[in-house]
Amino acid sequence: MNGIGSISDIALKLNAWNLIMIGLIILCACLLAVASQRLLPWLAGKLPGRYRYQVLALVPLMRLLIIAAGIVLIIPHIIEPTFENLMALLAAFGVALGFALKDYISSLVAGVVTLYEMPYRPGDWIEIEGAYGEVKSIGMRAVTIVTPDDTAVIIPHLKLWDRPISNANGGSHNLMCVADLYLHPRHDANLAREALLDVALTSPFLRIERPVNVVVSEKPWATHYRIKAYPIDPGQQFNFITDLTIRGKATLSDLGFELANAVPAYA
Amino acid sequence: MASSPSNGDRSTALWQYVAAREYALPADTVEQKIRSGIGALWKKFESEEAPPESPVQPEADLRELSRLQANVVAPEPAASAAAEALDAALAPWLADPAPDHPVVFLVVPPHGFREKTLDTWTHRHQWQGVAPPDTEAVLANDGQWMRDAFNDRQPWVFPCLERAFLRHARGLSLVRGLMDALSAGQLGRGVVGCDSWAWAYLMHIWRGRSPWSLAAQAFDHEHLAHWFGRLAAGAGQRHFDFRQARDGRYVLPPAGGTGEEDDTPPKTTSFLRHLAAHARGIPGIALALWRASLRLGPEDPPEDGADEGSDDTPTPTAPHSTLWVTAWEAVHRPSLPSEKDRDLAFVAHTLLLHDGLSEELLADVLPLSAPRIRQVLSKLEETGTAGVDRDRWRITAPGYPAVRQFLQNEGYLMDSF
Repeated sequence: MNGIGSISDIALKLNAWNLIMIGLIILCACLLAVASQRLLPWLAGKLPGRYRYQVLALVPLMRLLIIAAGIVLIIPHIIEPTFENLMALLAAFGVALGFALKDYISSLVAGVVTLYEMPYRPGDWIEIEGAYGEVKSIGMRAVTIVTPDDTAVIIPHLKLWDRPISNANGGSHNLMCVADLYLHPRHDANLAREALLDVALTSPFLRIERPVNVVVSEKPWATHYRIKAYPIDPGQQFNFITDLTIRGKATLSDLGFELANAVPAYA
Repeated sequence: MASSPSNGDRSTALWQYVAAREYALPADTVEQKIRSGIGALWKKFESEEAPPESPVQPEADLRELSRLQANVVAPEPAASAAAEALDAALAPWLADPAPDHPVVFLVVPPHGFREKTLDTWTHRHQWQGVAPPDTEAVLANDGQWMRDAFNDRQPWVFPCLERAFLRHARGLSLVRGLMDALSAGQLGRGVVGCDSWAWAYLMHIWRGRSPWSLAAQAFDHEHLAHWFGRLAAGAGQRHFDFRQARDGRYVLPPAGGTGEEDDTPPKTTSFLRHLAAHARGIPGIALALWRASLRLGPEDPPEDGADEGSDDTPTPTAPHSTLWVTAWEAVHRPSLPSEKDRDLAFVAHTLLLHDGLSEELLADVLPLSAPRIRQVLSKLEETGTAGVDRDRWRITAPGYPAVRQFLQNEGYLMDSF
């Protein structure tokens, strides 16, 4: 540690008064962080839909600002904030924590990275290692998602480094839904496709300003129709798919189409 | 809208039809948004004089107008002036024996007196009125309706395009076929009226060339002042002064002057600016709120036995008297519950898209059970935002601004007006 003082060289200022001040700063920061974590989602819930996600996205940012402010306020109570002292402190903590809490620190660092890379934000619908759900909160170490079955899944941020993260709406309201229908192969595919387009265009869940499409592909045992459309509210995606499926089946049946019911022989 | 020969020009100028893309909201709408957004803060910077500590007419001493009295002071307008304005807008088209666009679309927001205006215009020109298809014909894509309705080649008027479709998987084919035929000029010359919400939806589900469409221009506060004054004057026998109950200032310029030596028109309050902005310049909505804001003073005699069923024409006030207008903040404006309710949004939006629907049809087009729909309709009715009108549930005129704002906040398809 040539040029910078070692941890033993740092003039520590840890007297009783400073310890009390540090405790108070930590307490205030915790209170502020908890308050922002509760108040902002509450406020977002009260706001019109178009502002909801912007306000939710402020939660991790507010926490970062509070933590940064807390650190800045605490350091002068521990050491004389000279360049040498700061570097020595950081080096010492880095070595000690790096070995003991590698994954934890990695998650914390990844948590900071999420703030500017924004692979997920509160309100996004994401999938990480098979867990799909809505991002409810982003902590410093982990992200909490709630699955459609109302199960909370806590995923450490360090997955960010080496695992694919699928984000269905990427901070916007635009989340594509796909409803699958299978018809007996012998039919007029154009007529079926037009009927299914109208099924989508008449759904009250539909965000009609976004494109609607029906993709057709042939399977050995059926013709596969995929209705692709966007709901007004991403939170209604499963109700939207249900609506498309129920009305799609009813409409096709009314028009005399035969739904595929054969199980593939190789399945 | 009733006009006397001497000032028919001014009356006609109230109603203007412009190309739909040139439609402009009252300029005050921005101010209204700011006001509603920052509410109390605005009041600190408001340029108006502060209200007096003791109001000129305490609200407690004022009485609401009965329906009959309101019908005298602020009656439902006749459609002759609007029809004249439509004539003026269509004059070059009418004069052209072979116009580029054989069909004109008239797009008007809810409570904009569209059907009434088109009925008057149809009678005036002796064109053929086209009745809408029934629900069965819409769902069956019954081509017979189109053949019957447009069978002879005389010019026609179809005042309610929104009745030619249903937001149902089988409810769009007929209107698409109709729009294709209209835009191709296969149905001859005609005028089509359409509600602005239905129009917004149709422009997404029909993939044809954007048709030639006109819109009734919004009323700003000056238009409203002139219009309300003319409605109150009736045939010219009555003179009412409309003054703010809070401070006695005039809401409309006084009909016969102030009677003072200095005969310059007194400065009027900002009430009509707020009204025009809140109603988005839609005359039917502004009129409904105007009627709700009027009050009789204690000096006005009570209505003498003129109940609703009486044939006698009531005399609500003396030929020249003052009517008091409540403060804008005190005008009852229906609002929706603050909590989010998806089903309520579904029902309200569906009612607007179709310009009203029956309870049975709502159950056909929405993924909601009949009891749930009844529950939501009751809720809308309780809040004053929806009601039954001509066998259909419709969004009410006073409730329309709140419903529109609610749907806009929730991200639903909006009209352009």
